[in-house]
Amino acid sequence: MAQRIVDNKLFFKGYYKMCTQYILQCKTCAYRDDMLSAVHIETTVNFDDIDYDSFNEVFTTPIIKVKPTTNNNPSTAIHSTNYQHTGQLPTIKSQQKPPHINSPNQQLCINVDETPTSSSNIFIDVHTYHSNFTLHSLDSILPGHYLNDDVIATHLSLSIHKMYSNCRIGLVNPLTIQHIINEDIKFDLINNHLYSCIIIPIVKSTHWSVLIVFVDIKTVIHYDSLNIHRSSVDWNKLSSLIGVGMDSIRFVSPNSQEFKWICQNNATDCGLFALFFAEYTLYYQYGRQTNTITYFNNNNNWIFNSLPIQLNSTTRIIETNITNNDLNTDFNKYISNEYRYHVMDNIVNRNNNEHRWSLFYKQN
Amino acid sequence: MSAKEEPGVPKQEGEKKEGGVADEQINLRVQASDQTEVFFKIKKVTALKKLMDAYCQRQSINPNSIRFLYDGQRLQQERTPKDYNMENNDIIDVVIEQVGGC
Repeated sequence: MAQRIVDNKLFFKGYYKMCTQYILQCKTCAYRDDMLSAVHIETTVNFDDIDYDSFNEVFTTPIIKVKPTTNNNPSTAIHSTNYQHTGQLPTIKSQQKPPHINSPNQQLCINVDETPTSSSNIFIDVHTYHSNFTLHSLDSILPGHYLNDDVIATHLSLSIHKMYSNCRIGLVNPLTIQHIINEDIKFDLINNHLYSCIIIPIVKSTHWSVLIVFVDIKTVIHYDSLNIHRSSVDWNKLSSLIGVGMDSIRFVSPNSQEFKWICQNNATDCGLFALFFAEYTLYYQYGRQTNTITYFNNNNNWIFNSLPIQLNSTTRIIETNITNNDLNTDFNKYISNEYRYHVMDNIVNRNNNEHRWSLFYKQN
Repeated sequence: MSAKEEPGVPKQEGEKKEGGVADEQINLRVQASDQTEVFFKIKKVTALKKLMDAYCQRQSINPNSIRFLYDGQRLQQERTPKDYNMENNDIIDVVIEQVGGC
């Protein structure tokens, strides 16, 4: 039986289509619930059911096809130099592993800074990534799945770290916020001196929404992709955390004119829209290397009316023919799947300096 | 209601011990959101993965569906109580995974 060994480079190379397809392959070979570090050890996959040609088009780095060796251990198999290539696939140097996956025990995200987190426990130190990111969490990025807190926190903290590391942006851990709401602890976030902007992802009864606190201009925005602001947050308890009441919060939803283009059209994407809105806001506030606040004008209206991005125009990856999997049916259905790729790419591809967010800002 | 037990954490004679500190044991209380507590006795240099696994096994929970927090900080499996400067009778919070979609 012919087997293929996929180099991890494929996984970490960074193209989101690769990520997904790789995961889809993994799904077919019944991996379950291992730490992602397990993927660092080379995985032997039975690819009999998969159409090779379509994959060759998809992967920029080709898959190595390996004849079954006498050695059953895949990790030694890929290191041995005498594997045989079949077909016309170019070679990958087997020893050329990406530098960050040297140790098999290494986690997905390393700790950049070993110092303990900041004094206030509710914040995620944006320099300290989650290192507990599991394949289980990676699963939840796949189209049609609900996002979990790991994805939300890791994606946002990575984005902040990559792009806005000097902008004093705080990220409240979605896990601890529940705890704090229950304990009724008083924070006065809007008057803190540590951060100029605080992002609070909130989940209530399996619905994600995001609250963004601009400390400088004393403004709080709540974005809800389903426009159920009142019920999506426990406002009584949260107001003691933020420091302002529900009355002084700006509610943003797809109903408003500026955000008609990010409306949720399915039942699984609210987490994505929360992420998207947070990232979009950060970009507009901090991504332009201006020190002035360009978010609101004097009349307290949104300054930008034109859409900076058009997700519709970036549907190029849809042409890739994914066959023989259950995701095929609704894969092309929602443009938000584009953004899922971006999230996955950001999380998986932690060492890549070139941030793919810029791709979404292609103005055509 | 607290279940006073010391499950999990099998005795590991074969494992390597590093000096006298290795034998120092502390009691940790793992507290779920419904305030039920489970007590664990663990060496300061044992990876917390053992505690987590034992807890999940005892409570019959999928390890992926819960998170362990200490002082609001997410615990990493391969780290030890010593890394977090845990002391006797410290509380580890168990939080349920937050999922949302619609």
